[in-house]
Amino acid sequence: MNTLSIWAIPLFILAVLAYGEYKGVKVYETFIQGAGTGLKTGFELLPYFLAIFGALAVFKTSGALNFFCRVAAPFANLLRIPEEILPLGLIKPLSGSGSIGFMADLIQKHGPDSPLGIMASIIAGGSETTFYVLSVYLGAAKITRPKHLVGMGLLGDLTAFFMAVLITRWFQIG
Amino acid sequence: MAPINRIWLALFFLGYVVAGATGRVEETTLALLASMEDSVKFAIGITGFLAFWSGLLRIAETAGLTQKIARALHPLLRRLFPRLPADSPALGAITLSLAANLLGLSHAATPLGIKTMRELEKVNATPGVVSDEMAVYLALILGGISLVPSTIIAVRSQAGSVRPSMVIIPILITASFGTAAALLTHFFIKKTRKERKK
Repeated sequence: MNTLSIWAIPLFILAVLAYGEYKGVKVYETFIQGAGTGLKTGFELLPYFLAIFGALAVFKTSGALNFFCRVAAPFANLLRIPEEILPLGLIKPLSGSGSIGFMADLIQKHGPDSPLGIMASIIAGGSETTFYVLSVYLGAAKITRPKHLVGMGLLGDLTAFFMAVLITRWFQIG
Repeated sequence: MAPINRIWLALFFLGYVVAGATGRVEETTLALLASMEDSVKFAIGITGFLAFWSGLLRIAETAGLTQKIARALHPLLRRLFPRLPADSPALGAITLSLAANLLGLSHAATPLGIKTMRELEKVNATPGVVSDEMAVYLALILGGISLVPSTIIAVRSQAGSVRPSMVIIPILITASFGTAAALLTHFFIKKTRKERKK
C-alpha cells in the first residue's frame, strides 16, 4: 500500500507529461499557464487559515480545548478513537477549507507522520463537504425538497470518519 | 452554511470565557496574534505545490484526459443510471463531471456539477423534488473519490512530512467506503419507500 502511494505522484506526473506530448500539447507553455492560475488557489485558502488558526489559537491556549477533550474523552474512548480528532470529524461536513485548516493545525502539533497526523490527513481528504455540495448543487437545479440527501451525505461522512480511524489502526501507519 | 458561523463564533467566546476564568487572557491574545503570521506563512508554503499541480492538470486538460476518463467511466455509470439513455446529455454531463472530480480539477468540477444538476432537472419527472438520478449522482460526488488529493499532500509536506503521499491509497479506500455507504443508504431508503407504497 505504501509503495503504491509513493509512486502515485511520480506516475501521475510522468503519465500526464507523456500523454500531453503524445496529444501534441505544448507541455511547457501549458504548464506555465496553468501554474499561473493555480497560484490563486493557495491565496484563496489564506482567509480560511486565518479564520481557523485564529479561532483555534484562542480555543486551545485558553484551555477550552482541554476542557472539551476531557468531556469528550469517555465517549471517544468508548469508540476507541483519539479525542483530539473529534473536532475535525464535526467540522468536516460543514467546511472543506475549514477542515483543511483544522487538519493543518493538528498535524503541526502532533507531526504529519504520527498516527494522529495520518488519521487527520485521511479524514480531511476522505470525503466531500456535504453541506457545501448540497447547497450549491441543489440550489443550481432549484430543488426545494432534498428528501433524504442530507442524511445520506452525513452517513457517508460518518463511514469515512470511522474508516479513517480503522485504517490508521489496522495498518499501524505512522 | 449557517452552522459554521455559530461554531466559529463559539470558539472565540468559549475560548475567552475560559481564558478569563483561568487568568490566561494575555497568553491567549498573544497566541491569536501569532496565528495570523502562521496562517500567511502556511498559505504561502502550500501555494508552490498547488501551483505546480495546477500546471500539470492544465496539461492533462488540454490533452483531453478528462474526456478520456469520462469514456472509461461510461459503462459503469450506465448501470448506475439505467433510466438515462446512453447518449443523453444528462449522462454525458454526469460522466464529465465525475471525471473532473476524479482528476481533482477543482475549478472545473463545480461548474460541471451545476450543469449536470440542471440537465438532470430537465429530465426530472417531479420538478423541484430530488430525483433518483440526482441522489445517485450526489452520492458519488459527496463520496469525494479523487486520484491525487493535492491539497492534503501540500499541507503535509509543508508541515515537514517525510512521506507526504503515503495517505493517497488510504484516502482512496476511505472515500470508496464513504461513497458506498451513501449509495447503499439511498438504495435502502428507495426500497423501503416503495414497499410502504404497496
